Amino acid sequence: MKERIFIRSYKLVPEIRNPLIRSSLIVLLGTGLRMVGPWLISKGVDEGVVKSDYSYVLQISFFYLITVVALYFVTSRAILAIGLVGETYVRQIREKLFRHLTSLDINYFEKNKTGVLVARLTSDMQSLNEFAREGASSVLTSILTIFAATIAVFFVDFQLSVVAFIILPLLGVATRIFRKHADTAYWAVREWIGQVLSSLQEGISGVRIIQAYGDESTQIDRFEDVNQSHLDANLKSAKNIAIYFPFIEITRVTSIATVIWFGAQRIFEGTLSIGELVALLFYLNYFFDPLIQLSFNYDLLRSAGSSMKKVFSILDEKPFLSEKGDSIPSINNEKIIEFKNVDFSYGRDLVLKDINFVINKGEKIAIVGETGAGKSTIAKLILRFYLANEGKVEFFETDASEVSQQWVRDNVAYVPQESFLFRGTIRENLIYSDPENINLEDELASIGVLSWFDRYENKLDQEVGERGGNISAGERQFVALLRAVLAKRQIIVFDEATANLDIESESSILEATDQLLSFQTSIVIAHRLETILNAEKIMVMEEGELVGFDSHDNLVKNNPTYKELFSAWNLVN
Amino acid sequence: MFKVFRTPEFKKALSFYFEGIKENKKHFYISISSAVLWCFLVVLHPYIIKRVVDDGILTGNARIIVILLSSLIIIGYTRAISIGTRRYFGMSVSYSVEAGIRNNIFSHMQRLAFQYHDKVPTGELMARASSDASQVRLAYAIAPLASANLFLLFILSITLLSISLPLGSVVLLSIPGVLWVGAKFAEKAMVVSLRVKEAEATMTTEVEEQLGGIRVVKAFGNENFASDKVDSAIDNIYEKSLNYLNLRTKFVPIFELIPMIITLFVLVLGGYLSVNEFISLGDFIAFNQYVFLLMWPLRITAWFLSEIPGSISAANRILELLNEKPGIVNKKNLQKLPIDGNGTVKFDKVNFQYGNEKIFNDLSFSVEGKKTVAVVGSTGSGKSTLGYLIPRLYQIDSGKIEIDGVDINNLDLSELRNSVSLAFQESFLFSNTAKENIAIGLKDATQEEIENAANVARAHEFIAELPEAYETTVGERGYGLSGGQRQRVALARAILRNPRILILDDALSAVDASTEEEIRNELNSAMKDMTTLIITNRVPTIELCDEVIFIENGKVKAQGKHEDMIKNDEAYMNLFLEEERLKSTK
Repeated sequence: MKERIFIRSYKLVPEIRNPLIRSSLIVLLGTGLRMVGPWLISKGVDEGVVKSDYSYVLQISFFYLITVVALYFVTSRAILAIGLVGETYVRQIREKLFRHLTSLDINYFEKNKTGVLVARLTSDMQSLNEFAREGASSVLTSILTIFAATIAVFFVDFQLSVVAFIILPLLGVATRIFRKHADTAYWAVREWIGQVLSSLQEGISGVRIIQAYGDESTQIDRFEDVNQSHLDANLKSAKNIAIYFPFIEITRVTSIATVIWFGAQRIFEGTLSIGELVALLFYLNYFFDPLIQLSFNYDLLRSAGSSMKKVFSILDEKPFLSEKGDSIPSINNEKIIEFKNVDFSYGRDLVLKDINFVINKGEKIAIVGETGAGKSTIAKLILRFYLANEGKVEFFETDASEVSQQWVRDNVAYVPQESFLFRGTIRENLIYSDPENINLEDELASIGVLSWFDRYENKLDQEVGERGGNISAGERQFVALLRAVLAKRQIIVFDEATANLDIESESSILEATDQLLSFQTSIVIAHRLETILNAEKIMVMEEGELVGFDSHDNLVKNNPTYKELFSAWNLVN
Repeated sequence: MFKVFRTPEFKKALSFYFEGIKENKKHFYISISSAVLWCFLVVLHPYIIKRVVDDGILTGNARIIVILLSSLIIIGYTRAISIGTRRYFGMSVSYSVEAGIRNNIFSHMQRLAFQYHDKVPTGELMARASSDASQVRLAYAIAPLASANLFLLFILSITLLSISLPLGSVVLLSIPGVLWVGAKFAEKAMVVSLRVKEAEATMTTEVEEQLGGIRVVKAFGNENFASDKVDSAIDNIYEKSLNYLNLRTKFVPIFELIPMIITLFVLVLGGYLSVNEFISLGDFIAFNQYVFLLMWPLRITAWFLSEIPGSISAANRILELLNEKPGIVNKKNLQKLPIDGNGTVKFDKVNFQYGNEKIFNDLSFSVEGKKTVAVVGSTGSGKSTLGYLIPRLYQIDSGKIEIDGVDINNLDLSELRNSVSLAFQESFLFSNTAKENIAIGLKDATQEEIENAANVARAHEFIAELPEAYETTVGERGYGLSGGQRQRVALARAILRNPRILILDDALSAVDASTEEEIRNELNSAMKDMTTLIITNRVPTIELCDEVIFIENGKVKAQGKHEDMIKNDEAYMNLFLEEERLKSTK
């Protein structure tokens, strides 16, 4: 399973193959050079120190100096090369992931909280990042050093190297057991830290309720329990490492003692020099030190793997709607939108039941009804955020399931209830649909709203702040509506804000709104009397059914639901 | 680099660290003493090898080799165990400290009043308890290791000097240089990695914005535009990371090569000394081994130095949070509510300022016990705030609020909050069972009482239909309830405690019309025995009340019957007309 994740992670960014091979070669060169040092020392001991030949020692020292200098350059090249691979990899994954996310259906975003998705690209990437930044070079170097040290040991003396490594199978078994326990402990720690964080989050966001109901002590107890479990899991994982670590040391000491013992015998026999024994001891250190380094990096590797798992969980989501359908409806047709026996549900209950209606070119439609009557759902079907479960939604007499997604985006504009503005200026927001080609001042002047922006100090270049927070909710909605109008789509779908806005400053916006909508076929989910009275036809929704679709005058006479809605304000007028 | 040890922040953090050690004394001492033991054992290793060479191999004495090697093994195994012990107990201290900090932060936060939570965003508090706590932990995890290594450095120095004065001096003289390089690197790395962090934060903002507006992005078919924006933020991280990488490529190899450079000196100088028989061959070999041992202490010391500033500032941020005084606490001489009180509420010249905004200006009114009163006012008039003041969730600036003749400032907070229930506009559910959500703060509520309350709030029916009825987990990580259902659970919560005073803050705004009617009828009988304040602008709800309090400009504009006020008070009528119009179009 783990192997599969690594192979898949590697295949995801095939561009890194060559750089990866190249950097491995550089690292290999580095570890090779590192093995030269002990060999030179052994020469120096045998030929120089033992034979009291100081000029030879100096000669060896000179070679050693050259090795060190060469090693500096090779090592820095190696760090650079692997680092580049890692950074490129993380960058590619992030870009791929975000592009993939934007291609997914709206449905996916309704099911998954924005915060969670943002975390996928940021905090969940942290461990992958750490691994790419520092872990990867350390792991690669460690593995190759172990490899090179093994060869070097065999190179010095075959018999002694067999003796040196005879204890290794024991370490292998210990490693296996450690890995198994480390994996369990790792998942437990992750699980509990997740619980700790969400308890924490809940304790903070719910603090008002907790205080108002005097529930502090229960909440604190609950948190302490979860926190204790996390601590226990951490201690368990610490215990694993604390037991495994000594094992490496024990193996190392045993191996060194065995080598010295047999080495001494061989020196007595005259088949081994002291220098060679010294070199062996050096090489054994080169063998065991990286093992420690690797066990340090094991958890880092694991978390990078689980980061990747989360990445794949998003990449495995396939967009459905954006890939389905490629027809381009002919817009000469009069019937711009038609619902034929449409049923729809988000999963549990039917939200729309057998809806039928036709909207013709240029009509101004208002949809009214209580909360939960299905008004927004109709809008979402018109936007092709969803397809009907039963029946058909048609654009210009072409079935929505066959129409290309891009066509819908190019022909239907949408103003959601919560007007979302992007950081930046009002201008940037207004020209959002086509930044290159909209001649903003002229367009605004031609629909007579240019002067509206005089209210701001910087006029059109006023900064709106994060999510448009620097301007009022009403103004935000106005900018959002204008943004949709400037997109010049065939159809505009407008979900009016329900927030209780300051009525006076709203009236100017409302007036302008009516004017704006008169340019296009518009469908307004209406919450205001003025808007309703301005519509040509009104769709009356009740509990998922369309109970009336007519002009205000007719509805007021014949439609009981509408009459009831209307009588409320009639009463006060 | 070393400047950090002279700052007042360091002093504050230090006493914070010592507190953590005090709480885990035993484990801390075990880990430190095994670290010290380890140092001695480490230094013995090359010495034994020297003896093996000088006394064993060079003299051809196999017996002494056996003895030396057995001690090598015994010492080695003991050393291995000391490593494990140090690691486990060191980690135990650091994890316990971390958990302790989290507990402290959590319980402290529960005591801080609304005013604090309004000001400090959730994310910031989360950062204190998660990443900052971890950063403080790191200091504890490295401390025993680093101090052991410093000690090792000391012993190694003595050993090297005792073997050969000139050789030892050469090696020791190089140590400050190494530390200087390490500190230099840490200093530069901090600046560069800060840039990387900033770039990452910028990307997070960009991603949050584009995903937050995904409906707009998709509605305009601007997916590529959004991706390009995020791409450029990602590219920026990449560039900043390369700066960091370049720094690493300069410094990291130096660290790796330091032992080799020292070895070079040993080779040149030690070779000279050995050839001229100032030192033995064994000494020469042992020297080489000692140099190898130097590598770790140096690296770890450099690491420790580089982690210290981050840990100190994290500790200071945590301290700042923990030193924040809870604004609302019990007074010394507490009074009790009269047992036979009927829940009379009296506001006497109450002033309350929020930030720079004056909300209430000499607000005075009183509500008779067991009455049901609507609190009405335009958006921003402070009618919700009024609800928060009665259970003392905010502290008023001056004036007096009395319940049954007792100043709420003189009441025990838990008694006060048990007597006043508040159902909030935004209903928050915990990831607990439905039952626990209703019975919040009331551990001994019976199932029957809970069901009764749920019944009044018209929540019983749908809760009974949940997969595990009252035992179903709801909330963020549980079964998804609709807005209206959540409000009904929240309402049941308020009703269950059968309070003296019930405050409903627009608590039915998400409930559909017919259910609202049912709830209203149920409430009518339930509210008979308590004083009820209903904060709302909805007419049918207002009509249910005995009286209306109309708030405008921080004062009570009018108090009386709805029918009278709508005729006589123009401002009241206007407000009501707007509300009515908006409501009817929904």
